[in-house]
Amino acid sequence: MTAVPAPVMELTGVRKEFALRRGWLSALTDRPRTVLALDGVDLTVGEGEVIGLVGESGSGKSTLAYAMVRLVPVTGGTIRYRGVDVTHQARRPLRAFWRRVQIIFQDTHSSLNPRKTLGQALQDPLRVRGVSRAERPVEAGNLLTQVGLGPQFLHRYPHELSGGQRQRVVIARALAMSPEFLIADEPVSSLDVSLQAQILNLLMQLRARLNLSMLFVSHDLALVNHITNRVAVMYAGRIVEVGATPEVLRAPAHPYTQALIAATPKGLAGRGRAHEALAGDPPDPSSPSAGCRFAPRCPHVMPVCREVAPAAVRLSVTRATECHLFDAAAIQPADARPRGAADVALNGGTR
Amino acid sequence: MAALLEIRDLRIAFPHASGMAEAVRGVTLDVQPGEAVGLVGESGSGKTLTALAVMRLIDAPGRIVGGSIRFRGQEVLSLSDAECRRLRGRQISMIFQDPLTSLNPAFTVGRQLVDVIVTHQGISRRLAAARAAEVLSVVGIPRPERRLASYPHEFSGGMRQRVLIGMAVACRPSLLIADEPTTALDVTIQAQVIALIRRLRVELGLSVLFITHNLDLVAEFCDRVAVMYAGAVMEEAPTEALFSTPRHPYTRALIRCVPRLGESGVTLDSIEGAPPSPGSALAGCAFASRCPIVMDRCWTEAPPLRAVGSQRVACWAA
Repeated sequence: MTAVPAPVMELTGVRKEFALRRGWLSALTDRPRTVLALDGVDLTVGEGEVIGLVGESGSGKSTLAYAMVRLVPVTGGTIRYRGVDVTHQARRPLRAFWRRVQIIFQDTHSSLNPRKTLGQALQDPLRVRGVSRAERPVEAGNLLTQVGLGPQFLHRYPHELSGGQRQRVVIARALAMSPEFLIADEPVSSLDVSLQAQILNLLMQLRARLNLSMLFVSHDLALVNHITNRVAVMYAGRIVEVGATPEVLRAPAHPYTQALIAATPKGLAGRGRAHEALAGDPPDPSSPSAGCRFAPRCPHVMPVCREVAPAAVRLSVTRATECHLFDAAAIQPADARPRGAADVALNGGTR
Repeated sequence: MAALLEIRDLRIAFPHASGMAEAVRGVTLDVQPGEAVGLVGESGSGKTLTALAVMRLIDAPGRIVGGSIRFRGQEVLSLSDAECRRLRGRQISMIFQDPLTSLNPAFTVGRQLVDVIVTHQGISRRLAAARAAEVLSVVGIPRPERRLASYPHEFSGGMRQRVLIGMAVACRPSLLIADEPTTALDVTIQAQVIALIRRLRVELGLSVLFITHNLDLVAEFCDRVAVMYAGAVMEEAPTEALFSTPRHPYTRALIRCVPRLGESGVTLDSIEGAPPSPGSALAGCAFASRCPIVMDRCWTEAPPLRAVGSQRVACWAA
């Protein structure tokens, strides 16, 4: 269980700043303003691993997913794929990388061209992969069969499909490149629960059959719990906790992870429990504060947290968190430690 | 005790290629005073339409084609437009999923709150302004007097939903209809908003009709739950009973396909197939084509909602 698979994707100190657009008047007077979406992210995805990336809107999880496939250029740090630095690779050599790393998105409507049949939508990736013109329709049919649709869908248009079926097509198109690495950005968030389960099951079958490595971006801890081996929790552009999914969810170390788990509805098991909601809103990414980003909302905040940003503390071979509560340097009375696992224990489901 | 809201055999139809298609096909549902009732179902199941009908907000080309909605014993469907306006806001209020589109971006939050209060309570703007600040403080907005001068874009998503909840309860309605009020919000903010609604229920004695697709949230928050599918109520029961002994095959399937914290496994149960498309002729049970225990009778006769213990179930097998 603790064996660490060989790394496939390695991110080191990845930063991304977006420049804010300004009017001409403020351009004369103010300093340029930026939004810091990623603030030095380290993350490694191992061979065959499914890693979950969770966090709230604006935490930078989608930016991180896009940065991984070079859909947004990063402003610092390095991205290595199988040892090759792809951070600043030119487009031409990048093509090889893009064949191996594919991404699927939440919104299936805007992912598919409304004027192309599914057969046509699958043509391009197959051509890029070098499948001959004659073989493409057969191969396209096979792909649709793989995702549970079948060749009878080749001549349909996206609007003729339900949301779940469209997501299947998007998955088929990603598979057309025979990728090794799949990034799924909230792939089921816009689907109803009965369809969510179908798509998740499909992704898991494909992962096992094709030995894919996966980054699964989601705001839903319960989903992540179901399908990932490892989970990284993002807050305000940083990964504040990372570790094996069952460990992190059973005994969260970082106060933000604890709050996230406490806020997740738990069905009947959650009836009558004390509902202490985390106060405040996520920080404004255009004016980052000094120290720990979570300090203004943290129930365990200490003076040091408002001044010094915490560094990652290793808790075990696979587990790390960025929190002063775990700093040996920050000497505090024992009762200032975060509540133990028992207080935030996951109650069982309602079945 | 007389029910606060009684919906009987409500039918709502929309024009369709082959005449009128019923999107809501005979919904029956009660909300008792002080009760929180959850209305759950997948998109297109008719839960929002049912709520809009209670507010008399079904727009053409949609039409209420049958049934009755009684509020405090009075028939809502036969009210005049003026009477409807008196009902909305003062008796029944509604909040929606997207708090940004529910507020006018061109006016301050204070102006919009004051308008609501003046319209419904007929008091002076000066008095209404004081009342508006009070409302903001009730829903937990810090420095309410100053925030009245802010525009909607200056609030975060969670704060906007608080403002809307404040607007909705400003005139002390007895029923709050909340249509996916937390779906657009992050989970920590969702917890804040739910805590607020929970507190207002106690402080103002509100009844709540809570529409959502989130089963775990319903299980935590509601006293009773109705499960809708393809425009009809499939099962309705006290929350504990519904989740511990679901009697309709659709309810059972729905509960089983939700992943939960504290459980993990390789395969999630899923419901194969898709709901019937609106306008398709349904002779029997709407769930028949996806039902694991379907019988011959299910294809030809629609099962009525009937009592089984404390639950009411529309299934021949229950």
